[in-house]
Amino acid sequence: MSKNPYEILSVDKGASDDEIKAAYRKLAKKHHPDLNPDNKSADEKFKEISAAYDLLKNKDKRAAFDRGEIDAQGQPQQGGDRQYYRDFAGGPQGTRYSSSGGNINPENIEGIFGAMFGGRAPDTRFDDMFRQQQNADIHYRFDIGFMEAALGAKKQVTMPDGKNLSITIPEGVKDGQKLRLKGKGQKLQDGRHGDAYIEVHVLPHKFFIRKGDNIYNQVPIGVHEAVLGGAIKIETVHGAVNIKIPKGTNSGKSFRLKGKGIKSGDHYVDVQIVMPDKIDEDLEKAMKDWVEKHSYNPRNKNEKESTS
Amino acid sequence: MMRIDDVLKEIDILIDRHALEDFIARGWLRPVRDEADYVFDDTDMARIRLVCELHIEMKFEYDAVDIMLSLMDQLYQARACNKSLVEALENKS
Repeated sequence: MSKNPYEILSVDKGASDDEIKAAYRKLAKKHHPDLNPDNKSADEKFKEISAAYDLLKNKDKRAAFDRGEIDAQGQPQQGGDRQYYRDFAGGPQGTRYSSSGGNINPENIEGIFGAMFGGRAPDTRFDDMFRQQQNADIHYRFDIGFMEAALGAKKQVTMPDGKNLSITIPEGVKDGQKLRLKGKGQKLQDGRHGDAYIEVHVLPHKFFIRKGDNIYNQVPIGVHEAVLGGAIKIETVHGAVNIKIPKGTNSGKSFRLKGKGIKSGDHYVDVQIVMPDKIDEDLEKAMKDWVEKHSYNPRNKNEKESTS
Repeated sequence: MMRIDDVLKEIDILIDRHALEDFIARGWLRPVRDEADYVFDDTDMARIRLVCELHIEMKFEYDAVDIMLSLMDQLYQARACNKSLVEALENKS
């Protein structure tokens, strides 16, 4: 005999949709199995809450239930034998999500044992143990250049077993991304092959900084360009483009080059005004003349703003 | 193994491709990819459901989900480490 959905969610018969939603959220936060990894009963409880909410959030079902046309089980069981994340987290695939991103290093464990058993050399059975855990999938990691990651590339890689693999790096691949090469793993006894997984590490670029699919880079401009404006040439991953700097451009001003980032991302240019290496007489004289005629102090502006 | 389109069909919470890619960009999901696109396995599917429930149904904000997933991942990693240790101890004795 299943319970009344109103009782399960602890709401009145006349509760509004918002009240029901709020009650469901509150209970779901408390009883979600992934938020209660060790509590086996959370599973049942969460299923009950989800089923009750499923019934009550649907106007037709709720009305039918209120009229007594369907019972509390009169809805399809949501999820059935659903597997939660906690069911996978301890498995080999779950290591992809472990916080350090890597597998547990057997050497660390051996080190712990070494200390525990008075520095005795690790037993060979440890090695066997970890070898047994391996399956036919093999895992590699390698470095690729920033531009290769941005634009995609084809690469020939020599694997530790001496085999050559040709790999297509997809455009916009991210640092830490794993690529799957189907059937390129080890051969099993029954003749099937595992897969090869390659984790790519994107090397940093000298000037470009990548955030998602956008690219940021700082570009120096001269004092004369900042004052007078002008066109400057900017390198992007898609080649060089010219941008126009308006008269009176400040340091830190950012220009967006739409679609010039990775894939559909943008390229942002932050300009920095850079003084000439040597301030010569001409520049000095020009500035002196200018200052004599104009009283200009950028800090005055700030003071006025902060006191007003 | 599933592709993004299969995942979107399979998930009973309304989300679109853009949202899924956002979850990947945030590091909440780490599917592997082959030459064509991302591929999702059962672990990823369970994790997508979890992320959708936390973020979309229970309305936890981005920062909150970041912290929850990070703690959850640390917990499972600590457990995996513990399990290896226990197994190694059993083999040793």
